[in-house]
Amino acid sequence: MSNKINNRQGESLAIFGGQPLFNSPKPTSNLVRPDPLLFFDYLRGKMTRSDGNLVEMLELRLASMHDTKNCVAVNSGFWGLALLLDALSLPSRKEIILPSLTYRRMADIVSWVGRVPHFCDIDLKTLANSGDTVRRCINDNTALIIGVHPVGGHCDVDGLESVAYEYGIPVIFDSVESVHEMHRGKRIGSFGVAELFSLGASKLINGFEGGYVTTNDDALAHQLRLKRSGRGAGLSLSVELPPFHAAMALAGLDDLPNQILRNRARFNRYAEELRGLPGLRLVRHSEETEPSHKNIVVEVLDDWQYTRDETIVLLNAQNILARAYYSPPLTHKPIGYEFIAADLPHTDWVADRYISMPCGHLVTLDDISKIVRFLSYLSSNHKSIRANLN
Amino acid sequence: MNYFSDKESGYLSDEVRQYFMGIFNRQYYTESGPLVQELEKTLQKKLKIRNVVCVSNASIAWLMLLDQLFSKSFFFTPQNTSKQLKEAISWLGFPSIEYNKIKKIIPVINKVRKNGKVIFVRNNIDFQDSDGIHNEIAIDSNDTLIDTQFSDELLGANTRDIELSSCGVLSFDSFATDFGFGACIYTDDDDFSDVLRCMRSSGGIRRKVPVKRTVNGRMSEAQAAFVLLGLKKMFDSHHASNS
Repeated sequence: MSNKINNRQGESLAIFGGQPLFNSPKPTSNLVRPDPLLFFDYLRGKMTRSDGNLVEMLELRLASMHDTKNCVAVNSGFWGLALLLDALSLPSRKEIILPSLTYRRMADIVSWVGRVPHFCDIDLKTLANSGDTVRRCINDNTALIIGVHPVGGHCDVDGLESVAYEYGIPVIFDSVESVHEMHRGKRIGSFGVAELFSLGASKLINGFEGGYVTTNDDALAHQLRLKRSGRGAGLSLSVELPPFHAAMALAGLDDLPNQILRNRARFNRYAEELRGLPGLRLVRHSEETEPSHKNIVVEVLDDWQYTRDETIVLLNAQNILARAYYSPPLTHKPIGYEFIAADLPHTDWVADRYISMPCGHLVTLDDISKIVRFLSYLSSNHKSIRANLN
Repeated sequence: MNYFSDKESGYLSDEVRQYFMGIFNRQYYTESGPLVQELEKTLQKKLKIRNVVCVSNASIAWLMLLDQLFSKSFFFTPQNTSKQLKEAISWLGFPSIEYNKIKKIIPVINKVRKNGKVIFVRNNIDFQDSDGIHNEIAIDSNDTLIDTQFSDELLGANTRDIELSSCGVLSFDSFATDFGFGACIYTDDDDFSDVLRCMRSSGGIRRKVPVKRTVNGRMSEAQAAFVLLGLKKMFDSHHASNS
């Protein structure tokens, strides 16, 4: 393997056999560590209500945080969405509209509830589906619309609600990546008929595993509670949240304001360091929406000297575990069940332009400076690096 | 007072604390973590079976197993079959009959056999029950037998003197644990084990194989911690009663 390409210290790049920049991986996953003492306090019942339990306590706090009447916790966002789709999809209609540029298992969830995914395009500004992109897919067989908040920022909530109302089709929001954000002065969580969130370890609130649904519809909340204990009408499954996962999430909730501050500091460091580096654009969101900055995304512009995927390969070799943003789109992968997809030009264009950068609990501010310095090095030495890549 | 904790007194055992401090120090919370892998190896050894795939709960385990193995099959389940298996059969829309005495439905079984695949579900009662599957009906080579819910005593045995079927689900809710959440699918078929791992999550995959559809079936490190503690308690108790 060639070792002609050296960094300033005279060592070869990791992709060519040298030592990686970091000894341990720098991931994009949040992996927030709670205060262990807080977690143990919750676990041993010190902080529970005398007549309640940990899961109920978590549900009350989350409902309050999202300013909704109801919160129903389940063992994962995946199964929460499955139960929600079954509860709300219009009977005798089969299609559920969702974007192709999204969570890799979302179409599988639609299949599990016996419906057909109908993929819609995204809006280039938000990287999410919108009222306009969904409208093109609506037909007499549309059972439900899923508005999906992207990684950072949020989707066209008003447009999606408006289209749903116009056609009499229920709309729900997959808000896994917009836990903290605000829309029109309200916390995400009370829009559409219901919203879905995750308590997975990589998410803003780390509950080991878990998920929850927020809704102002009391009857829906009641139906979901029955479904999650295997007793509901239609599809139901025992998918209650284990109490120790609730304990973890509660400890995470207590730390949330501080976590947001830490995330913001990481984002600001990226912003500062990337300022002088042409070819990469840091994706920003209005501070009015109170972004959590849990995720940090850059766009690879036309004047960057590498493709998105080449950049990721070079970064990953250094233990900088940047990831391709929702890649590949679901319609670019083999799908083993029925689905519908028309042309998705925005999805196809975006598909190889965005990178999720390392952030979260395991990434320090100094790490970020090193990462951007490495990107700068790649840019300055692109001719020789590219010659060896080829 | 529970073995590991007590809400009234605020007690939380040292063992629980140690396990969780290990998790927090490793910062590995889910996705086929070290405790999940340890649990899988422990059960493989105890059950003397090649593959154990730990999953978040028995309902999801059954969904995975049934979705991969069976289509257009008819299930015969004993009356005390687990709620989770019934949920999975219902979710997938498979036809099923619950029986009290299997010999009474032999004519139905024979009729179904002519038209499709028959699945017998065997649970821990069948190992002792003289009316159970082994004594009353000959399992045809085209039939399939799957196991569910081993009794605690079986796991405490030093030797496996019960012939396990080709695959099944063991629910940890049947253990004497305080927080028995979770299940595993076991199988001697390596290829099928790879399918289950690829279906379950992106962690713990030994070989990537195509699957029709995936689930979130991940068992967290927290779940594995409690099940390992429960198993240890059960094995220690068996050892004490045998010595």
